[in-house]
Amino acid sequence: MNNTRREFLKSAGIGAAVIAAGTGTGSLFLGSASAASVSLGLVGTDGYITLPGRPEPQDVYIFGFKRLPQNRLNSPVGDIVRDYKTTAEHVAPILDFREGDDITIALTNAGLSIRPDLVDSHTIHWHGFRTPLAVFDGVPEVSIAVPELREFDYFYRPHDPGTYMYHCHFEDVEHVQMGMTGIVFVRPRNHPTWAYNDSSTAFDREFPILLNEIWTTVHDNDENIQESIHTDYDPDYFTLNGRVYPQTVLPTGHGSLPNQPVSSLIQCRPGEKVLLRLANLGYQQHAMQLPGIDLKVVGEDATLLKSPGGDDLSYVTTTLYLGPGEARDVIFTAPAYSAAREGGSDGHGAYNRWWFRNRSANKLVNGNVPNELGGMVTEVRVYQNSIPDQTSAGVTV
Amino acid sequence: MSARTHRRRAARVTLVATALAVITGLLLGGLASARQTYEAPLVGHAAKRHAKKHHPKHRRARAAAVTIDLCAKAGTTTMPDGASIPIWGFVRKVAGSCGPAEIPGPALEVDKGDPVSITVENQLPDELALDIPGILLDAGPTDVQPGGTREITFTSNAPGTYLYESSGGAGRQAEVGLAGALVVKPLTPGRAYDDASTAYDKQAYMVMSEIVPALNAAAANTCGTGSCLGSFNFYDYDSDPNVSRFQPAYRLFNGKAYPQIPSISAAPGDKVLLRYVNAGSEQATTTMLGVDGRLVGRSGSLLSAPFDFVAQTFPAGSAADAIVTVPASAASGSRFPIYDRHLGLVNGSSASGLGGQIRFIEVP
Amino acid sequence: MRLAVACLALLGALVGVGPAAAADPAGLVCSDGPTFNLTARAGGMETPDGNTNLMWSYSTTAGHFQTPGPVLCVDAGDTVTVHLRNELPEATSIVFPGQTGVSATGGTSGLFTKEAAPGGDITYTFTANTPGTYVYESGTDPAKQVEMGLASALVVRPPGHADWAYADSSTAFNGEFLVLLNEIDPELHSAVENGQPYDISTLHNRYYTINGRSFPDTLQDNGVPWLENQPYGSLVHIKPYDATLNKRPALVRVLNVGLANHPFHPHGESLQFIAQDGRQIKARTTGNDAVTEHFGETVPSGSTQDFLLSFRDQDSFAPGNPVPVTFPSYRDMTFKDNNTWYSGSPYLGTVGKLPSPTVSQNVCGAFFFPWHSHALNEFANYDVAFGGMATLLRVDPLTGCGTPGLQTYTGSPASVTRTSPTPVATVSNGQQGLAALGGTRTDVTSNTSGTTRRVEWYATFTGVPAAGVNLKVAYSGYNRLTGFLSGLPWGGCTQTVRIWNWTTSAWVNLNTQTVQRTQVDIADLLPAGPDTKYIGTGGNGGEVRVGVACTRTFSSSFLSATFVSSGDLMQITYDAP
Repeated sequence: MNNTRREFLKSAGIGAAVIAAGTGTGSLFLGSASAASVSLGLVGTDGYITLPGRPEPQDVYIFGFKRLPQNRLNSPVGDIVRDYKTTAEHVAPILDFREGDDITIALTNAGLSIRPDLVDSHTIHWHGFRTPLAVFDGVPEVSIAVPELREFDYFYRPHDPGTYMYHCHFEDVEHVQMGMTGIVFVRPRNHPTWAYNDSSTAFDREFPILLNEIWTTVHDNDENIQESIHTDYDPDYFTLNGRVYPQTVLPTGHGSLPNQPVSSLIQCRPGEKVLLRLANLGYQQHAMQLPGIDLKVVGEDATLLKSPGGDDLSYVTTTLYLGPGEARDVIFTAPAYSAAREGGSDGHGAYNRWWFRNRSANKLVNGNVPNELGGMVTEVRVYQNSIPDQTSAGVTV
Repeated sequence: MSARTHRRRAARVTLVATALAVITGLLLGGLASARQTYEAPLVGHAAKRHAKKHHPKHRRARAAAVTIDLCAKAGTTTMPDGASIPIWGFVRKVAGSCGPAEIPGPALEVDKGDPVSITVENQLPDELALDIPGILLDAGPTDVQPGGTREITFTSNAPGTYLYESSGGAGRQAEVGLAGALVVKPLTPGRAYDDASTAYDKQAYMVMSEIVPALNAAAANTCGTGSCLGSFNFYDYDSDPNVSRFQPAYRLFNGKAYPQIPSISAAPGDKVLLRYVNAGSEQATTTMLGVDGRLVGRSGSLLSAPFDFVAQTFPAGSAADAIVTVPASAASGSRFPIYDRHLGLVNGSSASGLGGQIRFIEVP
Repeated sequence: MRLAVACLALLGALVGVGPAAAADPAGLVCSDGPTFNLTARAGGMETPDGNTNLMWSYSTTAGHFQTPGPVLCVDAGDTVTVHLRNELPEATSIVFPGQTGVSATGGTSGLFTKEAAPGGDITYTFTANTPGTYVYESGTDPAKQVEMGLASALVVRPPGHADWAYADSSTAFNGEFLVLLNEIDPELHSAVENGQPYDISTLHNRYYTINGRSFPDTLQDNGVPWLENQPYGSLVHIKPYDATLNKRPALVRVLNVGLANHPFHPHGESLQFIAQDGRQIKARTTGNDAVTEHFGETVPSGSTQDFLLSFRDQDSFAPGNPVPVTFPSYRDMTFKDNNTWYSGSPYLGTVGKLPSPTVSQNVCGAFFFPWHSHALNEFANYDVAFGGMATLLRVDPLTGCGTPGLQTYTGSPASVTRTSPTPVATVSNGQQGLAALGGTRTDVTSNTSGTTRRVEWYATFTGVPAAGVNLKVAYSGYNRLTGFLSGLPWGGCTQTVRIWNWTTSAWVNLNTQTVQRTQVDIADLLPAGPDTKYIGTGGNGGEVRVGVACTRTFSSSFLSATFVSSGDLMQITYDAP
């Protein structure tokens, strides 16, 4: 079994995909009739991210997940701890799975080097998963948590395509705020470029985007061995995939953001159908808009918007309203390129720029940095010329 | 709707638009007055509206150009507790001049398929950025430099209620008042959408917004060559790192707080179309007593599963169309309150009594 | 605890006290109408961190103060009459969002409805038109009075179908639960208590409640005496879907009477959203149910949402159909605060071993899932996390809790279970060569002399690794009379299951109980460590001996009696090194 799953992953080009877990486009987009076994490893630990406007060294202490390279899956726990402690990323690695596969996620708790006094466990809570066994729900009070220097195998067999989230549920009021949050999604087995098992949800490109807030007070308190009062919650940074604008439009794995590898730049060609896989793991409700482009919501909470009687319940809207813990699958058709529209040019040539942004003025800021557009904003770039196909969801081309 | 469709339609009617622009402008000028209320918005073409009264089933054969001239300017508004709040607002330009800034901006109504031209003259110190979420503007710049003007054009085939705004200053310009409602009417009068299920007897705007006094004060102050709006800090780590300075003191329907909000007059059995537009940054939630609403569409999109509601959240920047049917048995003098269910029902503080977003549908 | 509550409930039904006291331990508690006598008054609510907040609430006029107010249950078409007495220091009222044609008798005119003056009365009357879940709340200075707690639920049922949510068979339910969301700013409540100015613009919530309690109080049964002002629990207690045994979903009525929207997140299974504010959601063109499923749903302030819930495992995972991963030994697990709702087994209806000194709240292999606000700042009691707006979903095995035959699951990944020992009779009379008895049972007959008769035997497992750990013993058997008394009922014998300690050369008793003609399954017997002393060395290397002894003293008139210890299963389980 081990050989089989390793070969599957190798053939899926997983070795190269630092960001997106599971599968690259190579084999995935072909679909497959047979279920496979997929194994991957996550490490729970601490680390730092960078946000504009922070006092030097501009670092924000986080807890987070880090994906293990596939060739380290069978490493002894001690070696993993030695090599991956304090390498946390925010957001957590995107997990890209396929309906019906047998999925094992090995979670190793590598501990916290900045706060060795905190002997916190970690868990994986696949938020929204229709959980047949409570033990894999990742809630320490009702199942198992993973103590420091231990490893635990979570098992899932997802049956329902769509966009979900995952996060640590150990002292989650703190651990979620501290950064242990990510997107996981499930592709239809035979139609990996459909959002659901329905042809109306076919797409050309896809962009997982996790909405979040950062209340730096908690991060600083954790770093400085202070308690926080969580009912005082009042975040000062508003992130997409763990970055704030203008970080959000930097490419995947940009050197200035070593622990925030996931870009939110939405790159597409005119006429292409673009799937936004949106989820909110902040503590506030958010209203997101893409003025000028109609947004068609085809799924909510990993459920196709179709009634049991077959009625199409999808809807077109200007405003995507996501409460905490909610997910939306949204498809738009990229408009035609026009030189008369606002835009710019990058390595792929000229593009029109459309703003995908939070509608609330107080969420378009970066802490107390004045005179700067920040926060929950990214760009849709509709290129004049052809651009490469996506290799993996969440990886810029 | 595709971008291609929009452009083709706009192109087809360009000549007509040019020809009618002068006439339309005159008609608008004739109707407009400084005392115009938000419930009686100007339509693009007054004569057309008049004709419909006599032929309610009449469907127009072709689109007519609509020209709208606006100014964006600074002003003040007075809250029920006496506070004078600096605002930025849109106001119609009538006979070449603009009256005081209004919050929200004047309600703009156009017909489905109309080629629409909106020209904005910027009398503010900051650059504006115009947008109408849900409507694809014709290609071209949308910024308006201080002292300059900008024309934006579009043709919408999607009836419904929309928000128009200047989203400049990282969204702060809309927050201090540069936002209003825009309605695209279907070909059949008396409906919110083309679908017969959206027929109504009367309509009312429910434009929601809030006022953060410190932010509005920043808009009125000068920083360098522009206002201090852009350099307003939502966080002042030196004073209290735990508290955002986004602290609304007033919450408004159509720019007014209770008890200054006029009631909606409706007869027993009337279907009242409430055109909700949330121009603010908060997620607004209203509830109602004695009636319930049917949410039929959002921003130009008819719902496939319209639903009835009593309490409903209207996210920041969204627009929605809801139909409330006044009970046929309602006696004269009956009042049906619609109010902010987050219960921020004060103007400034509880010390000045009940305030905020409270409005009545009233049977005369 | 469950027994005690059952007695309380019975007593409540007999003496006809308030509806809360007569309630089932979990689930929605109705005050039945259509005529209600309510009093608005002040009282305290307690939070799990030891604070008490002054609340204003509606109570039945004859009953105890309670928060939230009683859940008013009526049938559609009923003429509902609510008499309100005001014992608050200011005028108050009730409004019924979602109801039409509410008329008021008495009182004085207020902004939204007629009001009762302090000490005064008022009566509201309306016809409940449409089945569904509704809010009722104060219509007087709501920014103060609703925040102070004057709000609760009105349930309108379809006539003739008390087990349908709506007049629609697709909404038939089995089990009905209330989830009423609210929040409290203790400073504002303190201001009211102390006669200081109340300013809603200073609102800063610290406590978040479901049905008037904060987690973990939410899990306590309805009507527990130590939460006398907060009678409503919110444990959602169901069984899994089964096409024949449990076809109907549970109904979850969610109301948000708070001032903030609350994003509610059910773990374990998505909820089917069927109605908002008492109105089913239907497709416009076909009229079909427009049901959607959600794992997160933001409940707008003042709104209600009805959900159906069926818990399903389409993979039917079970000990016989396990997931393809191994579980760590319980000795490698830790549980927060040494307390858990985990059963020790991943599979529904089975239990497993937990590390000492962990205490499990799980008696029958149920699944527990938290349901909570995903605005995680609300998942706290002031400054203490894992509190606030949360409760648990409890999924019992389909056969129920407390049924016999509870299976034990052994979680250790390398555990070995042995069931084929070699039996040896140590005390018997006339029955040698146990293997010869064969069959599926091991029968050993007692001695036949004296008034006290005894059977002793043991069986040897061989080849147990010297470092085997986590030794567990199980034995299933019964004891019967033989000879001409066979088949007769008797008092049984005192049976001891024991294990041989090679270090002390003595038996160590693991379980002693009287066992008669009916087989008793004794599982999960855990010898005191270290386990190595039970594993033989030298000439007895790798041997583990498990013994059974049973003793009975007969009266002199029964001296002809002999009996048989009849073993069906003897088993040891251990972790391979």
